[in-house]
Amino acid sequence: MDGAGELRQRSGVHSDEERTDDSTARLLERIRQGDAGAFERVAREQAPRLFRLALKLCGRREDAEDLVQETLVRALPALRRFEGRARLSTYLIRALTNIWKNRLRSRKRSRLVDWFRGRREDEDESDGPEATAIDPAPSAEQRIEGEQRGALVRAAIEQLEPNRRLALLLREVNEMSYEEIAETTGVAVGTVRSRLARARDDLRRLLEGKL
Amino acid sequence: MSDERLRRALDDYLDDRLESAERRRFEERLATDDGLARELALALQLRAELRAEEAPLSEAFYTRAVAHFSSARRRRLPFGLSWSTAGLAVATIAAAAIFIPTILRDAVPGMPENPAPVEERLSTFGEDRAEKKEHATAKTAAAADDELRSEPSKDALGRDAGAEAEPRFKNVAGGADERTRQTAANGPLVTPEREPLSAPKPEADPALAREPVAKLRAEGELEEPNVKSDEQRLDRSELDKVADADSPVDAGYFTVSMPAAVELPVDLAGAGEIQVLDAGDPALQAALGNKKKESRTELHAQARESETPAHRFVAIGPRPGLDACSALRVRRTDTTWEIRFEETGSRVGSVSCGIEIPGDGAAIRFQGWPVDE
Repeated sequence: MDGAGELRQRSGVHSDEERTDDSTARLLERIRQGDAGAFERVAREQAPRLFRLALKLCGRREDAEDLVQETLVRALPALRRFEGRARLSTYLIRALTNIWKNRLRSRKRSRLVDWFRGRREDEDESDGPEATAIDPAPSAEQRIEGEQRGALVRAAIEQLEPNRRLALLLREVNEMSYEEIAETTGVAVGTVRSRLARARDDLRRLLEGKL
Repeated sequence: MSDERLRRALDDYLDDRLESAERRRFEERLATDDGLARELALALQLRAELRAEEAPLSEAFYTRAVAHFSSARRRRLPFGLSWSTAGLAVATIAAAAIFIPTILRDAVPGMPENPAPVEERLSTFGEDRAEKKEHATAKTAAAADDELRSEPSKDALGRDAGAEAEPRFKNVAGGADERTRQTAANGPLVTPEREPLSAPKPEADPALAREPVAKLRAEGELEEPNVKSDEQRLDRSELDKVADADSPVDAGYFTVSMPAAVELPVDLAGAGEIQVLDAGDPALQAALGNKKKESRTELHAQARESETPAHRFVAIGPRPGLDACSALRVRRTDTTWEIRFEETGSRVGSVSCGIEIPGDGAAIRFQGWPVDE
């Protein structure tokens, strides 16, 4: 701890971060007691970060919103011990990825049923105009080009093996360090490094000459 | 530097994991290697795509999430109990409710005679099920009943058909031979091994017991049982006669051949023993939660369509709401409970429920608990 920090601690003066942590801890306690207002405050703080990841994982906006909602509703009341805001977001991302993996598994089981219904999954998940991010600034041509490029990248990412996809998105979208990714996914840093390398190799191969 | 090592270096460069000296060397290489520069450009383009801003979450999302949170909280159990913990607790209580009275009857002098030690009941129960399963593959229930009523004959394998039929009626606590003979001779639907009720019991008028059943059949409500006539159905006085006979049987066990409808003496179904539940009752619906949706809907629809309150589903046992028991339909007359089986293929947890409906529909065993001792 630096000198200023020591001084603050000795004098009982807390940093903004410590105060925020205290208030988040109190909010979480209220959430456990069923306080919807407290839930909304924490959700507003955490949901955007979760949503960015969920959108890349799911591909569809509706699915991503659903995933984030389920994560918040299930994980926040279940958190017994608060260890700081960074920990909270890591915890929520871990919860989100677990729920996503469970959904992937159940989706695999229902794939055959979908096939019998004559509705292929990739058709079902094709991105309509509403699912694509729209930047109001660029021209129509630029927008179409951007949308096409985005769709290509999304399609390539969806083809990645789930663990590799998750590692890549945690790194690229959530800008997490290798150590944070390791903690979130519960694997060693070396495994994270190898998953990232393979994911990038796969992406290069899939997108070669297309971008 | 090999391609593989170059790519790893590129990844580390992108993720800012190179030492300063390594980083400098990599940048020097980048300035001269067009292929590496293209790789880097592609990686950066990908990163830009992935980090591109998306439209933020709408207000509607937060409204929905808060509503979802509130409704999920309402579904939670009090005291922070999870559903799995609550389920375990309920199962423990149910098991205690079944076994403790039996243990007490064993241990406390003056308590009514115990049907059989728990271990014996459980072990024989397993055998009985296996026998019934085997039996299902061999013959239909109706053919089996006919076989019981006729003289014993040899089957295709040269075995005594009567000997094969005997285990179906074997009581968990023994005394099977006597009851099998009674069943074969009289064709009764209910053969109590011992009258499970406390004396004195009012004598029932057999006509009262039969009349509603006959009326139901005339209305097409009730299927014709696989018996010769109504006279073959036991009424209360017949039950008493059988109970008074000096048979080495235990309290509360019945063996019933498979008819479309069964009559039991009404005071067998004392408080806590047979419980009539309204299928429209939310508590019952919750208890039926693990039943197949279509089947549940069908059962509920039947109950709703029924105009008479007697057309309700029944759960038999110390605890109401066990879903398999709801496969029964019950009608109470002045002197009898009439129980009709809606789904003969139901698998009923007989230990917790006190009743078993075998898959082959050949035999039904009731466990009636002594009432008002």
